[in-house]
Amino acid sequence: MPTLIAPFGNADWLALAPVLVVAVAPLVVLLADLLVPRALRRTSALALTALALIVAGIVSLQGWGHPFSAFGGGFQAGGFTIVFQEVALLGALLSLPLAGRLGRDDQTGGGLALLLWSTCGALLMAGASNLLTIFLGLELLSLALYCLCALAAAPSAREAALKYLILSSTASGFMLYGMALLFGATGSAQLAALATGSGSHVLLALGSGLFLVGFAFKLSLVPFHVWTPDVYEGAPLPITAFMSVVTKAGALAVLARFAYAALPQADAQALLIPIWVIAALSMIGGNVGALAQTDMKRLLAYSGIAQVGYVVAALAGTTPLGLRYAMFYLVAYAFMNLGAFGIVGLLSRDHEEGSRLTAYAGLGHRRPFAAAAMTFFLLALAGLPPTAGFTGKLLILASSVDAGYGWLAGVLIAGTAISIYVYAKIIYAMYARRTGTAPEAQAARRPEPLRWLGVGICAVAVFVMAFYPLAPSDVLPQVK
Amino acid sequence: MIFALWLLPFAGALAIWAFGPQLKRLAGALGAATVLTSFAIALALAGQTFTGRGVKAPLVSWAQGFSFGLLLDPLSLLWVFVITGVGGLIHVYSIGYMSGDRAFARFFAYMNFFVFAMLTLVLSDNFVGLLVGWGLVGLASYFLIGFWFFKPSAVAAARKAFVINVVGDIGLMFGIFVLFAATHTTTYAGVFAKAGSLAPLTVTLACFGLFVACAAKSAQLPLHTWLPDAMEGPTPVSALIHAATMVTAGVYLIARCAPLWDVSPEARALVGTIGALTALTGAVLGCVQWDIKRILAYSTMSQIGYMIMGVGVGAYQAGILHFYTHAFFKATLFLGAGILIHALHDEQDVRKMGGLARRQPFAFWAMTVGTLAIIGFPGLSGFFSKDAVIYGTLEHGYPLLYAIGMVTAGITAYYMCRMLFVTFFGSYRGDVPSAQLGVAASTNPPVAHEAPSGHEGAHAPAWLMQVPVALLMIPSVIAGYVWFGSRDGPLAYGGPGSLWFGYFTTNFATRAEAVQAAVPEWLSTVLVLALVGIGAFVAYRRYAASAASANAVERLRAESLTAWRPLTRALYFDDAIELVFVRPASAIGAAFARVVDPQVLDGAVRDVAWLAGWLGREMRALQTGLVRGYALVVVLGVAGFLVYFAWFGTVR
Amino acid sequence: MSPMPVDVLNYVLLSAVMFFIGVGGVILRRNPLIVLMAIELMFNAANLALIAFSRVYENNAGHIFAFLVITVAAAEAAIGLAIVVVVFRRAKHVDVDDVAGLHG
Repeated sequence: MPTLIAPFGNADWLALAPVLVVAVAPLVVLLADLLVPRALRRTSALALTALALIVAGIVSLQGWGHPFSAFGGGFQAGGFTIVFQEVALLGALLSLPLAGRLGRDDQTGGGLALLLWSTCGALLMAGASNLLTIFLGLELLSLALYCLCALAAAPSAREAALKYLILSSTASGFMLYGMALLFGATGSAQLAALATGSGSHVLLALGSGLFLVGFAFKLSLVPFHVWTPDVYEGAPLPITAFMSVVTKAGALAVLARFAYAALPQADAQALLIPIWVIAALSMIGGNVGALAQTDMKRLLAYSGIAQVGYVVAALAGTTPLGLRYAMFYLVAYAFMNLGAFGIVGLLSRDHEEGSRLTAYAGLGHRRPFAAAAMTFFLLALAGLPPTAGFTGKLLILASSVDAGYGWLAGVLIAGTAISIYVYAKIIYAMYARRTGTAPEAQAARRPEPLRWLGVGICAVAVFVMAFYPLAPSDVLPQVK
Repeated sequence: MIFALWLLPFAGALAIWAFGPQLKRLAGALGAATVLTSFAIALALAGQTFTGRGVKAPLVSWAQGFSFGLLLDPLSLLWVFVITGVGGLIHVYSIGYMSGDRAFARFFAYMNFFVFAMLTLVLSDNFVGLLVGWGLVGLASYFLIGFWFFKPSAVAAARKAFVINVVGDIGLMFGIFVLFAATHTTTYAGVFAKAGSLAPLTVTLACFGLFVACAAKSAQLPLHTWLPDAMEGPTPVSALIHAATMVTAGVYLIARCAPLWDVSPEARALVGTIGALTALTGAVLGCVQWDIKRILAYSTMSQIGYMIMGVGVGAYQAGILHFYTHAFFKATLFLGAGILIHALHDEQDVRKMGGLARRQPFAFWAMTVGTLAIIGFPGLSGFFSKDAVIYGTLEHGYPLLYAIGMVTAGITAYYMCRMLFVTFFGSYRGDVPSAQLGVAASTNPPVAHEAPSGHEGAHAPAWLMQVPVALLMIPSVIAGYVWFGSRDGPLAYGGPGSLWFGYFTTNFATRAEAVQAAVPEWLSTVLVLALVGIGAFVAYRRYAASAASANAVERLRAESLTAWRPLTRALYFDDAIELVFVRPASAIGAAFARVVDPQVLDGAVRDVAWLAGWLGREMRALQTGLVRGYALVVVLGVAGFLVYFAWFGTVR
Repeated sequence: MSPMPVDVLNYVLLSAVMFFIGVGGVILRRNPLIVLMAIELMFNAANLALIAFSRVYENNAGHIFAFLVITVAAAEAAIGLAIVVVVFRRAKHVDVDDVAGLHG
């Protein structure tokens, strides 16, 4: 006789601890919003959010070296999960300095609560190893983000929210139908059941295809990237920064787990070919799309499309080394991308002036430090030394050549060549023109230690990682 | 020690940048002092470098075949000597030359930064450090070309150098990527150890990428056009960056990567041929220039062509020797020209000079020594090195390149003597109206002398500019004697055993695979000298013999107006480059250039973008903003996926 | 052997038809409310397939999954309607084609 209540023990809840911390924290944030005096609300909300993220990060790290399959195989704790959880937490934490003016003052608490719940979804996805948990994590991540996108007064933010809602839900629909077919192929919601290779071949193939579409969409790989530029441009700056790292970390975790552990060995390589193809398309398409942009957030959206293409290319051939290099590049990307967004934030006052490219003309002469930091991040995004971007690209090249995907390495080089023009133009504009009036009122600039702190952390990390590519070992995903 | 050598100029740059306003005149002295101290350290390290296998200073390393560190071996030591030695002297000269310029301190901050960048390039023990240095020298060069940013021509020249250098940087990155993908390491030692076991095609591909970088940085065909324009920068910049050091980075790279070139005969042939053609083209174009700095720029391009030809065909020692001697005599020539330009209030057109031998005796002697050295007058430094390069091509089995080298030597004699005679002989023509001289109503208005708006200030003492030039004249004369050695033959020079130059090139001594040449070396030397003599004689007949006569002005005018058009248009290279590289490059950024920087990219913006610009716009056109359109794209993508997966599920 | 009186293939085909009707609705309809309904249709097509497969394998996971999807879809609808209201608050007509300020 089957037991009615599954025997979940302490170990199960412990494995889920980081997710739980981030799931409960928003309630505290909302409660504090009611109790704390009005003047302190923003500060307290920011502090509590940061605290929750840091605690979750520490809790998550405690699990290193203790792989555990919790809740009957629904959630896998272990090195793989921890790496992606840390990236997501890092992305959320470093987008906080930008979130100082998220929505109206009285919206900050609610906004940050949503941000935490969204992060919670990404943390769940990092360890999810059956179809239900994956779906739950993805929807938790997305639903909170739809609201966050709309959290600004500008009509463009609402437009971004609507577009994101419709397109993302459609993609979720495709993915969900794919999940149904995968369930039909094996009769089990566990990813582990897929790996056995039994079950219907047709359903497995079609299900995998639709399932991968959902994550290609979240990763914004060409041609599923169409939503990205509009949503990134329209959404409030902190949310754009958050999305560019946290969503991608969550989606990449599921994609990597699916590719490495869930697909039956015999079919895995052939089933994944379309993913490598769209990774190649992204490396070219993202950089070409960035060529003609006039808005920094939009440009970074296209740049992000290409960057994710590089990360996915590292997985080609699903070699263990490739996974470690993909993780390295993902972390590097998180830092350089958030650094660039941090500069956009520094140049903005109330209306995100820093997202217009005109704000960068002659910046080197008006604000030499901001310009120098921006130059550094752009060099990193272009993949030039001495930055983590360069080291990461070298590693990806080596791994894709080793795995027998030399053509992906060639596409990566071509994409890099295009991207150098994209970023060189901005750097050129920053230093070429001496004149140029400051779009932001020089006198009224207020000190922003928090944002500088965020930018500084990113810059140091991007520099140090260039010399210490410590891709973690022992991170292969498990499914049971 | 090696770290101090490397970082001192950087510290100087930072100090000058931070405290420039407080330092005032001392900024120049500080800059010169840091660079010269580096030179002294390099001297102190020389013994260590020659005895061991070089001074190594690892910075960081980890398991996967990566490491970052410094390496001072004989080859890099030679470059360090030139960078800090010649660089230090040019710093001292600049204190005089730039005195009165408003941005005096900024100039030295940039110059020091350049020295640091160049040291990074030559001291790195791996390709990544090389790439960093490569990019940084380009940046420094860009800043210094555009130093007088109020001159539109200077901004345009800086832009051109920037674009072409980006092409080169991409080439270098490509080469490094290929090498890393094949060998999984970026250190010189690691890559070269595996060079022999790589597929020849891989090596050729990597060499091609590296050579694109060399061509862009060292002004080789067809990426040379930025160099003449780069003369818009202050003259000390032209002497240091665009003559003595940065533009020879290509020679360094090829010499450094000799193990790769050894594997790929195709790459060697390409490099040698491009080098020879560049030498010839530069010399021919030098014959029709009137701007003294542009004459020198084309001669630089031509001489680097010689160096590249030398290292390309495998005569590494000869090519390196030519770099070494060229640094001295070309710096002498540029600094001498700088004295003239300074004295004549920024007049650079030799037609407006004339008869300056008596007015400027010091400059006259400096330029004479420099000219004699560059044309290969027997006994002066250029004689040994140029002869070694030319004969080296024959020794390594490239008779055609040998012929080109010989002809170029004759042409070099002609145009250098032409410059010397027109400038210093005859009578002064500064007060002759421009029209009578055929000087076109310039499209490039002479803003230079109004510009620094500072030359009216107190002039620094003349010795500040004369002493460095005098110190450079000495090696211009004698530097070639290091080539004397143990080789048999009437002149007994050349070869691995040569006096002490051999130390610098020990790593290349065994590399020589010279074949017995059909022409003995002494005969070759005599032939070269004959051609040089003819070139100099023709120049003498045309410009010196009748220089004092009344119709000298008329003759210059006639020549200005009748010069063969393709030559005055620089063989249309500029136009071709503009069409093939610069326009697409500019057009790529056209859309946001319109927003970001209307003035700088003005002309190019109006042109229709070709491939990339078109793609960028098409990509934008796809993003209609209509959510249903996006949904359609997604659905089409899904359909593509489903076709593949359905095929996979049913057929396979 | 199957406990189902009707072959499972029929259920799956029906769910596929529902699914593609939903996809068509997303692409073709201009009223955002209808678009949201079309998305719900896609979700429910998946539910149908899940439950059908659940019967085939006699496995409760499919049923649980379907309940989960229904819950999530409800949340999604709530948020979706809120966003539609915010976007079209001052508009006389609701038409997704009017929302194209962000492009390029």
